Amino acid sequence: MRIQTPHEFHHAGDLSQTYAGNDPRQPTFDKPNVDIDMRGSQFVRPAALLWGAIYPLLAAVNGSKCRLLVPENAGVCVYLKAVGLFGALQAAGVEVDDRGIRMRGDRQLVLPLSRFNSETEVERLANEALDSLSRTGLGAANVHPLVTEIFAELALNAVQHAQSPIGAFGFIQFYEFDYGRRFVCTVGDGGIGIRRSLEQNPLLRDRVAYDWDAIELALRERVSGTGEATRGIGLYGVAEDMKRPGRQLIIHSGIGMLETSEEVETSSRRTGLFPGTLAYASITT
Amino acid sequence: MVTNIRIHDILSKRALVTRESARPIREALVQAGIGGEIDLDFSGVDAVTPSFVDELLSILADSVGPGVGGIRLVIANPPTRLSEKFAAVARAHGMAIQELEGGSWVLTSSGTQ
Repeated sequence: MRIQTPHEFHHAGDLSQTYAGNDPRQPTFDKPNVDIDMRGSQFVRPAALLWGAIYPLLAAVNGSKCRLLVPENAGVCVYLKAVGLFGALQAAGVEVDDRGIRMRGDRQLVLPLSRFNSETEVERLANEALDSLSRTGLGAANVHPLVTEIFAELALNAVQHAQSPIGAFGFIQFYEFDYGRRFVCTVGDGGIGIRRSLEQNPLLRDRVAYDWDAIELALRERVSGTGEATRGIGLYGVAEDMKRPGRQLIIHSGIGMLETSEEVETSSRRTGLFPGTLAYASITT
Repeated sequence: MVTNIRIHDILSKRALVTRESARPIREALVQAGIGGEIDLDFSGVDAVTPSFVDELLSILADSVGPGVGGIRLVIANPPTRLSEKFAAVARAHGMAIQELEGGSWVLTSSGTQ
């Protein structure tokens, strides 16, 4: 099975569902060989990059022999290697032919792609991110705490609720565009998804018929799969922080996607499959 | 009586993320003794999550105990401006929170000004 990624690859919703719609989390996933074909991709955005890590790792856990066909554009390859995608996949036994692609230090990479499985690891990564921000002086210093908090809360959610067989991944990047500068925090897992997580709360089971319903509900205050009175603040808090000028939050779980920003308020829809949950937070600085 | 605790002396990390990280504060509160006002100085701490603050408030509630009356908690030198997510954490514990002119946060439980 070969999944071809598009020229401009923003997120999993950009993929044709003919093959990408096959869910590697399912025991019925029976593809002996899985190729992720990025050869034609000229732009791979953070959410797409994380899908490029999660999908093949889940397929490998399910017994598939996986291969990433790297972009023909050398610059894109250098970027993907610098972020840590190639290393993360190779460490898990996914074939990646990165010969001739040099490892380049990227000053705008606040935190490289990191795999984590526990709250302790999340805290360690948050402290590393803060140290990196202080050392490099990227962006405005008064935004550094917010960037760290957002990353930490998204990562804690993944650890606490995802039940992901491959753990979770996250990275933080600084972008400098003509129209401004921003930090981007991206966290993803290959777990059960928000809908199934909320279904574990009997009071919510009937309210989450679809993935997009579940994401909307999860962003409300005190909604969680545990039902505990003082829980369910994390995603709500992140969403509230993102409803400010120049900020954007995108949550993609299963076949549901939600975007929240000052302009959009909140908008949820059906989209292509992300096998797990991904959160992307963009903060202008 | 005012109980003063400098958080960074107990938890020497710049980012306080987990509930587990808040737990050593319980021992510090016991040793310091609980007064009518508790001042927690967050100098040296650069980021906290709602999860950490939530656990901190749970620890405080356990330490103060029922029947003691309201408590006043001052968070001095907080790492960020007060935002809705921390207000939501306070609400979940039946507390009101406000930001003072100097940047400190004041949390009060019902019955306390």
